Amino acid sequence: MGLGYRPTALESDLSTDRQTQSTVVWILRRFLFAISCILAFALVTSAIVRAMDAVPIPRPRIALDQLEKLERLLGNLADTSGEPGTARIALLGDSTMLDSGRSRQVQFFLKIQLLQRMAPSALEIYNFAYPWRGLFENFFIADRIADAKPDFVLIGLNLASFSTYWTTRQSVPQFSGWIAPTRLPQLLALPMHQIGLTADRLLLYLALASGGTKDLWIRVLTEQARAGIAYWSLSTELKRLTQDSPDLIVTKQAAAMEASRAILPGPPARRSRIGAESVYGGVLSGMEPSDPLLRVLGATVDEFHRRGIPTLVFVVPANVEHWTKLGLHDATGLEKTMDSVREIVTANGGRFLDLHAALPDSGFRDAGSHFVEGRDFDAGQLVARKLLPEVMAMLREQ
Amino acid sequence: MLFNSLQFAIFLAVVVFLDRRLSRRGRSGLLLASSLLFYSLWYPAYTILLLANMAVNYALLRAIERSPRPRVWLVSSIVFTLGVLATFKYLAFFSGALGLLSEPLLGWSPPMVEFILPLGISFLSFQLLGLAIDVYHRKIAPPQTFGRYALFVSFFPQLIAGPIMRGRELLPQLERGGTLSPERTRRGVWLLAIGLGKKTILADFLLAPYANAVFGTPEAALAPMQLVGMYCFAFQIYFDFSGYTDMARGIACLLGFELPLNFKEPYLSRSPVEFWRRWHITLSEWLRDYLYVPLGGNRRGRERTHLNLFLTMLLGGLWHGAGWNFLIWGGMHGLWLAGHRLIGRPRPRGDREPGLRDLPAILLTFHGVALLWIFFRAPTFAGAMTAVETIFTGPYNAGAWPVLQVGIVLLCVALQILERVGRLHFEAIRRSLGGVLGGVIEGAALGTILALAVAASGVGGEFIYFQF
Repeated sequence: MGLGYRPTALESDLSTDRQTQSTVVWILRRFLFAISCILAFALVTSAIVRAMDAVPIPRPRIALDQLEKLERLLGNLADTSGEPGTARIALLGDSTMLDSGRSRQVQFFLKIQLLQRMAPSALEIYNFAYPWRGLFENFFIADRIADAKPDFVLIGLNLASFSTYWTTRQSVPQFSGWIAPTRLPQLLALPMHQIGLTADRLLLYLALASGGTKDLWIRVLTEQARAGIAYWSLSTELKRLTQDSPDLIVTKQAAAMEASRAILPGPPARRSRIGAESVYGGVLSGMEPSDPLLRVLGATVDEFHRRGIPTLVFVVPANVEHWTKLGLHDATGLEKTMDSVREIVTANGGRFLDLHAALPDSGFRDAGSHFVEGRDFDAGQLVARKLLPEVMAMLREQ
Repeated sequence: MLFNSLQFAIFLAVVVFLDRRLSRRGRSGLLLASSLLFYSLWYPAYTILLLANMAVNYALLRAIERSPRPRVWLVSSIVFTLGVLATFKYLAFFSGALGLLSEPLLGWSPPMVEFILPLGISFLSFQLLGLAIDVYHRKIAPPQTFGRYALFVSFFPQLIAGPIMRGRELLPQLERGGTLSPERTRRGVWLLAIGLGKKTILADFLLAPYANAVFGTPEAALAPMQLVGMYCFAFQIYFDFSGYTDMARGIACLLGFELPLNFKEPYLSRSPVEFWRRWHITLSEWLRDYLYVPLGGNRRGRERTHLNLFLTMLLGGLWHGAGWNFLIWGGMHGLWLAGHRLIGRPRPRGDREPGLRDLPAILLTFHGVALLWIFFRAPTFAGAMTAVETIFTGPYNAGAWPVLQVGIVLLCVALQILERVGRLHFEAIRRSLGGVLGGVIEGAALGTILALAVAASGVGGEFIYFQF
């Protein structure tokens, strides 16, 4: 084309060492290069891990650790499949639905009340709830739960899970690796970008999950997390040894955490107006049925419906009384959101129960909508009682 | 797909493997297919946008070449390309800015419509515009096939974050199909490894956590912390961006192509003018050739020159992102450049590398640049002003210096100097490592960088469940 392109100085300088070296030397060089590269990689990696063991740097929990609990519960659920007279309920949700031992909440009370009223020969509630488990994770694991054939599914929907903070910071896109291939078209139509899941990451996760490399994957992620802890530990230790003022990282982290939670001081902790707005803003102003996140909820319910498993979605109580005090409560907007959620759930074959205003302010022990428990008033018991009629109706239909 | 991800490593290995087994024609097809696959793996729907953007621009490019009124088609191309860019990148920003005016005056705000930002749209828009303008000025002939044009625009090593390629640089190479050689492969591997190290070990692991902590809550940081945080971010953004560019150049080398140098140790510059000749060089040259010069450059008097400089940098700032902080950052650089020109400071000769005697000028320039990065990085203008105020008013009590991070910053300074030494003595280093022992040393160094990069890759990632 006569474009006047000339190689750059660097290009023309690429002398062919290959031509000046004997073939034997050239081959030997490449061989030794490869060997030393592999050896150095192995030695340095091993040295890093050994150094962290020696200090010692603790092994943190990582997001994929929850797979262990998931696998165990799925195994238990599948083992009891087909037992006559047994009602098996799968409960999905976040920490508000979690039976943590400290607060034996909804699951416990629901089971007691069901046993008192219905007396089935056996009843088990399999609690798949996990801290920060949100809309996408429920979608990712829906088919595996359906495979274990529960009699029906309860989904506790925390309104905070619609917030950007939750979807961008707390989601576990790696769970997509365990999704059935037949569901991939459905997943691709959902707003995966909201949790940073791109098509290439999805393919990688699918390969890692299906290729028998799960344990290695978790090990690498854990060691990487340890390396991060080592950095902070070194920073803090150096600061402690050399100075008397507090370490920036520690104070900054605490400050950032405080800012992100935006919690008002004094027990019990409550969100500030800014905090509540950032977590519930979209919900309070009214969500449309076309909201991308509602589509994720709809797809989850649809998965159970297609497999013939009745599903009840209930909105986990939120601190409406506190919103009112903050001047944030918009009954119209909230009603619109509830209508949208109801529309999506019922359109996908599920049942809907709105418990968002079921508890007073005193029913919450913290800013994260976790319930109080005690001798005088047990919020979990109250929620279970409100769930009971719907659950009983679904069990009778079974 | 990020260059520093496992999935990209697999993708690249497959592409390089196939590339070395195909004919020239086949290689072109492979590169185009892999470039489109690379793009579609991010957000499949936007591949249609990319293809449409390229198709329309190619039609306009051919019209510019053939029409007796090429200016009309050039203007159409510019309007179309900037229209796409404005829609997908700036619509929400402009709506917000309009709302600031219309809300108090008319009680009305324009609706906020926000799209997912298409990958690399700023870079490819500049590349599309540059080629259209060059063809209009008959500096280069347009690609004869749409496939070649599409490969020029979407060539995956430089699609996301540059370097911004000119037609005269890349098209002839694409025409030749790239030239593979063992030395180019060796250089490619090293650029890839160095870039990976810069990005994952330095930028993400060592620098970003502290910079994020400082800029996250500027009001809580003491002066020494704020100062070190500023240094950390200055080096973070450098190692992040230059690391990415190194990787892009390395990948291109593995495929037989050369991409231009985009960074030349910018923090060793002696003036703001020199800084912009060493920082994101391809962007600076693009802005100079397609914006500053058409605005009149320095040919229309002193005042107009200063105004042109300011406008160029203002738009350059906006190019970096749709936000007031970028606009302010660009504007401040424009003012600095104009001010520097106004007081008539002598420009260092371009061909003379800086030495020790330039240390005061280097320190002054570096601190000016680092200070302006605060406006680039801080989430709000108020936050930026708080940080600047803290840095200037102190107090700098001895007990508040973060020891580890000061050490890391000093390491970064040393590495910047080392980069210059490496660049100036590249040929001697290359030759000294040419033998068998050199192979062992190179292999060990490469293995070490890779091991450190893998260990450092988890920090800041979403996998870590620290909060529980």
